[in-house]
Amino acid sequence: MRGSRRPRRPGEERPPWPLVPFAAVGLAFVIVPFVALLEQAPWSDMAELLRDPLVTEALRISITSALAATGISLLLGVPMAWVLARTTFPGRSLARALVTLPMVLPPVVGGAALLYAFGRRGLVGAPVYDATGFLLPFSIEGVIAANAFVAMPFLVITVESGLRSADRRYEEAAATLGAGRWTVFRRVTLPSVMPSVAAGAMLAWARALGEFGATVTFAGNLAGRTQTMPLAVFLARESDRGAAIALSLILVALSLAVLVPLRDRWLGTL
Amino acid sequence: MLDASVRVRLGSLDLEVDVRVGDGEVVAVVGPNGAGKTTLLRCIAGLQPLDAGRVTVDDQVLDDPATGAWVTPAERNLGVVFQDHLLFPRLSALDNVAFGLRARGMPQAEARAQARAWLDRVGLAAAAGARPKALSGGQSQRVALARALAIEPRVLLLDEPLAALDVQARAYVRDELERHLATFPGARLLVTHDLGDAVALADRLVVLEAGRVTQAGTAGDLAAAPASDYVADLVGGG
Repeated sequence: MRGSRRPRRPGEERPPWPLVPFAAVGLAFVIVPFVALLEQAPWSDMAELLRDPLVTEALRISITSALAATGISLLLGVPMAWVLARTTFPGRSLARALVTLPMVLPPVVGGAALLYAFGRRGLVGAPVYDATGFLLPFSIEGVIAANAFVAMPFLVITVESGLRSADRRYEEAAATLGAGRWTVFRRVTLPSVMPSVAAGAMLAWARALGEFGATVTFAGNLAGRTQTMPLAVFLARESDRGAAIALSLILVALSLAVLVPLRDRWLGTL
Repeated sequence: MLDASVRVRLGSLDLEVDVRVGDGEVVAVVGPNGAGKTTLLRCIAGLQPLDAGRVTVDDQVLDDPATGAWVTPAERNLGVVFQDHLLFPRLSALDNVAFGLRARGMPQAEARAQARAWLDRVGLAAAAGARPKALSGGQSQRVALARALAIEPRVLLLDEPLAALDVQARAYVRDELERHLATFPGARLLVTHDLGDAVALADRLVVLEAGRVTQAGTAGDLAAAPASDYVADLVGGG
């Protein structure tokens, strides 16, 4: 075995040979579907497909709702992450478990639960409907709510981890200089965890973009109103294959745009 | 005027110290690592609550567990220079020095103007726009000092002010620090493990070993009659 005596630096190691076939099969299993997408794509019709209202409407709804869901996740998630990372209160473990529950809960179940809370006869939805006539389900706001529900935990987890490992000594220094808690948070803590916040926001956005189960259950699949890209792909996969593939490729591209910058940095800590 | 009676238990450290520093005085607390010097400083600054005892500055009680008196670190108006300087990494030297002023509500322009004056006082007006990581050890120490002085504190606390410096910078920075300390009118308390620094910077020494004061006085007092092996080593080794 020529070269087997050459000293190996970390990162250049050769895998133990029994692992190789399994790793190869695993890689193929993951890569082949994407290759198939690219191979089956109707490239000559692509420009026209990208102008199809089915595609453009779904793209518009997906992008706007994912952005809004990310915004909500930031607004609510960062404070939650701070409370979970820095305070103790009775029931904190339970609170953390509930906050991260949407990560493991089947999304359809999440959507159903949202319906029981905010639907026409829901716990909160019923009084709101009677008072104002506003209904969350089957609206774009419902899509946003469903997306935020499944995406927020990713942000909370990432930011909480960042806050836990932040160097508190700088916050102490700020306190001795006369900074109150809000000033310390604004000028010292938040800037120091900005990488975690950015990574959490990207993960939340990617998750919101790909959300299907909760969205279809809670917000329905109304073309032009609540039909996000994943829903459109599901609907069109047999009837309008070209559009389905175009949408799929867009989703893959958008997801890669998020994951590639993140790569070693944060996926390793999840 | 700083009057601190500190009784605190932290991990394996059992700290019991009384120290008093008058206005215009510089007192150095000298001791080996683990003696409790930094803990003492943190208790005075309010970063560590006392178990018992009392911390008073100019007749204001800052911490007294017996009566429940407690003033938060932000309200104590004490200047602290930390061992690793702890300059905020994303702010320029100027904004670091201005930080305490802006935290008190001063408008940015005015805070920056005053900060510039303080930086000038420590000879770093040219480095105002630099980020902390671009500064040398001696420079960042001076910025940390200016930052603490800018809030016009009543008392100045310094934790191992020269520890983060390499050997070449130490002597020069020590002379500079002595000069700057001399211009501060209030009480100054520094902790260090280095007798040379203590003698150069302070009027009076307090020796802290394993949480207890073993001796106090001038360097001459210590040399004349060392009260423990550590003190004997300290003054003998020079």
